[in-house]
Amino acid sequence: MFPDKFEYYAPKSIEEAAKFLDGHEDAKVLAGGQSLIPLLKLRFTSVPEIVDIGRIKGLDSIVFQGSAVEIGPMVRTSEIGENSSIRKKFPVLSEAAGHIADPLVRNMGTIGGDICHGDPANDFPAVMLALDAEFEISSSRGKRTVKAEDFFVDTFATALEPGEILTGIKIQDTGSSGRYMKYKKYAGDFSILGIAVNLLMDGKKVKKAGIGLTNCGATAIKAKDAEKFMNGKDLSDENIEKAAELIVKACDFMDDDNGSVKFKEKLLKNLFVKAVKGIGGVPK
Amino acid sequence: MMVTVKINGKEYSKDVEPRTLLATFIRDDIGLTGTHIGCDTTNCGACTVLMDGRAVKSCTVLAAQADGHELETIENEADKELSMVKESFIEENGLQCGFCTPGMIMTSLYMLRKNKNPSEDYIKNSLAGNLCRCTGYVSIINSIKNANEKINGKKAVVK
Ligand code: FES
Ligand code: FES
Repeated sequence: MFPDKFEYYAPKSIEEAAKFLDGHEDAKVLAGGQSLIPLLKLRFTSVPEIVDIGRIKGLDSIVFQGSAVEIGPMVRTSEIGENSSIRKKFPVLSEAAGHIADPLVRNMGTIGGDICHGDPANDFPAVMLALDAEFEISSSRGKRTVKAEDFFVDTFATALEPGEILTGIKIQDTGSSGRYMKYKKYAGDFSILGIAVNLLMDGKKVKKAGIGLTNCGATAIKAKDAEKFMNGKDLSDENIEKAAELIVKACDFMDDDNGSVKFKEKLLKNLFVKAVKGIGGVPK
Repeated sequence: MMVTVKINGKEYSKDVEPRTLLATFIRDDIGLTGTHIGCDTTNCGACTVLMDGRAVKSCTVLAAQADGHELETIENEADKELSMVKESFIEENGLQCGFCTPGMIMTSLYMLRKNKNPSEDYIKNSLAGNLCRCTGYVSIINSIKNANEKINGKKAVVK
């Protein structure tokens, strides 16, 4: 299967890429291509031009600076999963990386592509929401910063405007810890649903909760009411149950091939409890 | 557009359409047909090659993305470890029809290079992107354990 014809452009700098995008409104940015190339091959979509940002230097590094980490959009999913500092400081991120597609796809697929694709079933968006990540977005008009919670707009729709490229992901290290739980039908499959839970503890009490949901609605969802509820509370069974109720309320489930709304609600609650109780444990 | 890649140590340059996929580039433009195309939809891994040492599905990579990079395919005669993996698959009956085998073997080589002390779980997880429709995975996993003994000199693969 071949994609429809397109022009291929591989800029060497962000400026060059931004300039090209300005003159070519329908051009599409290519990162690892693990979502885009299958769509092009199946002719679900076609694009006049492709801008491959894989040759821009500096977009594929992981830099720890002060209390934050900056991750380039071209960092491969497998590198996220294998990076030992990320594993230590942001276990929820490495655990999610290990659940994405399969090892071969993870060797090509990138964190930036996973985020910008806007697929509600992609796993990194929920993690970004749980970790309150910030995205650096570049265009010929300069740079701007968008919070993860303002980024995911709708299915395949993000806050990226025409001509803009995601050029950096910034996450603060607050000393929190988390887990990512995902339920899928078979190895390499998309999530039926997934949940990222990240907790900053103050003794026995939650100081700050971060909860992101995969495939629980039209796009990745931040379970804000549940987060607010958990802040300042301990992790008693009662509180966890209450938070689980609020998480389910944040969802917009539909009956489909993956199961009924009832099934999904129950599944999500179970995954949440497992995640909370598993924090600090060793992810597989 | 011109695409130049090194495959198994040899350099190749070809003028191709930008939409050319790496799998068809390797098979049709270069003529190395050991790399198979099974599903053509990123599921089966028959098309697995190593790009700069990392196993990827070449049906889901543009030849243009590989421009300037180094590839290894099942034909890499010079690689002793690859030969050992091939022997192991023969010894343990790791193939029947052989269609998935080039991908299985390249993935095996990749995982054994990366982890010199693999557990059975590691082997299974590393195979998540490769499908076999006839042999059954038990013999394939046994082949990889056998290859691990040959390459890494480790007898026991722990559970
Ligand atoms: S042919 Fe590439 S994954 Fe099946
Ligand atoms: S040997 Fe026939 S598909 Fe694997």
